[in-house]
Amino acid sequence: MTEKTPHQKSDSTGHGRPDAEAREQLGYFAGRVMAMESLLIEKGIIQGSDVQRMADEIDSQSPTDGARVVARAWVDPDFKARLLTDPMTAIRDLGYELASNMPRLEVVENTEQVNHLIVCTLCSCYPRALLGRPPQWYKSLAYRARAVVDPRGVMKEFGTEVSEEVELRVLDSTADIRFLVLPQRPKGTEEMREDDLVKLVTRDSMIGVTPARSPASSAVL
Amino acid sequence: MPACQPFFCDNPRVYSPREDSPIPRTHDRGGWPTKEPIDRSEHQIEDWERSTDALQYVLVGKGLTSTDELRRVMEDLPAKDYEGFSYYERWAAGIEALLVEKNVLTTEEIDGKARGLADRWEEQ
Amino acid sequence: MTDAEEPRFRPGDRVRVLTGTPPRHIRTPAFIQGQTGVIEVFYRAFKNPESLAYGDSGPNMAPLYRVRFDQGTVWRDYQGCPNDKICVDIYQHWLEPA
Repeated sequence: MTEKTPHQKSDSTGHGRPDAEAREQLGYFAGRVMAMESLLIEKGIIQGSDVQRMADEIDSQSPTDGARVVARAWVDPDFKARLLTDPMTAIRDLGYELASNMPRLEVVENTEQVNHLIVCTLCSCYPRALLGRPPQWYKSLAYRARAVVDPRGVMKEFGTEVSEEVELRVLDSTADIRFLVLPQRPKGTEEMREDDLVKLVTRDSMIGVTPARSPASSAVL
Repeated sequence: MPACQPFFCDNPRVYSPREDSPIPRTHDRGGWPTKEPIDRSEHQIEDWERSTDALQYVLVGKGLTSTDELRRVMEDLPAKDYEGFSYYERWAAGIEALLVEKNVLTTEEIDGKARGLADRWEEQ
Repeated sequence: MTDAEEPRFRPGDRVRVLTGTPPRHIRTPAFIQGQTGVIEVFYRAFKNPESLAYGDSGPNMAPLYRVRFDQGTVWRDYQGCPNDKICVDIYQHWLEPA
């Protein structure tokens, strides 16, 4: 592997190549991936449209999916009960297609007493089916290192102060389970319709680093 | 397996498990001694990263590779590559290692095709 | 089911995590190895990813648990609150009764 070290190294943030150069030159890894894809197509191992179609399908997954699930759980206690005990069935009942071979989802509920924070210290396991591709920070070495040992410090960087009265539970998704946090329904939303509640449920609130938006702050956005 | 990774020997453990905890491999990051702030900036996925991401899922769907195998080969990257590569660079390196290991493609084929693509890219 | 697939632990059981960081694909992070915790959830048996990583060779099915640990006992110098927990999903072959 060492002899294949790219000519251009990543910048210090660990992502992206120098932009101007990247436009003029095909990046080392971009070239390798394009080469592999063309060879696989030439050999008839994959079809010409397979990668594009898969990328489109992955693009179609987004945190809005997770937000709809959360908002429904806020307004429908029966659904919430099923979501917490049998999440795959509950989510399929909402009309989502979850492949039978996808990793099993578990939904964990934040309450006045217990908050949850999700991390994958070994890799980047993430509930893609409901949140799409994981954000850069979730995959970063810093988050993977610190979330387990300094969860309150990490959350503070996201602007979240967890009360000392609250038990903070970090979930390290090391195996076959993907976790989604069911954030607490913000105060002052009792009159809101489900469609409007969806807008309060952010990606980060379903990973657990922040609470759901309060209606006051979302009015500005 | 080296007896002690320099990172852990040379740095005071800011955070650490107990004295008797084993030394983790490079990818096993939980509790590593760092106070590096989390870079929360959003990253707009680049075209080649989007293809890399999708290619892996296509290969898994065809039963040619598995997520567990991809993780294994990425974990086997030299430590400086694991830490120096970006996320999708690790994936790209891992996919290549697996396809070569499984005799689906050879390194020479990929070298040749990549050179051709780079030449055409520069002509554009 | 073979013995290896039969769940040996139940929620509430105290377990210790075995140790070892061999240079091969394993799913038990080093920071939790050697620690003692409590079984919180038994999920079910999954295909063993530590075998799947090598083309599905070796032991096949592995019961999976969510194991809960006190943060204060896991880290030498935990700065959070005494009630804080860390939960890690761990396969049965990494656990022994404590």
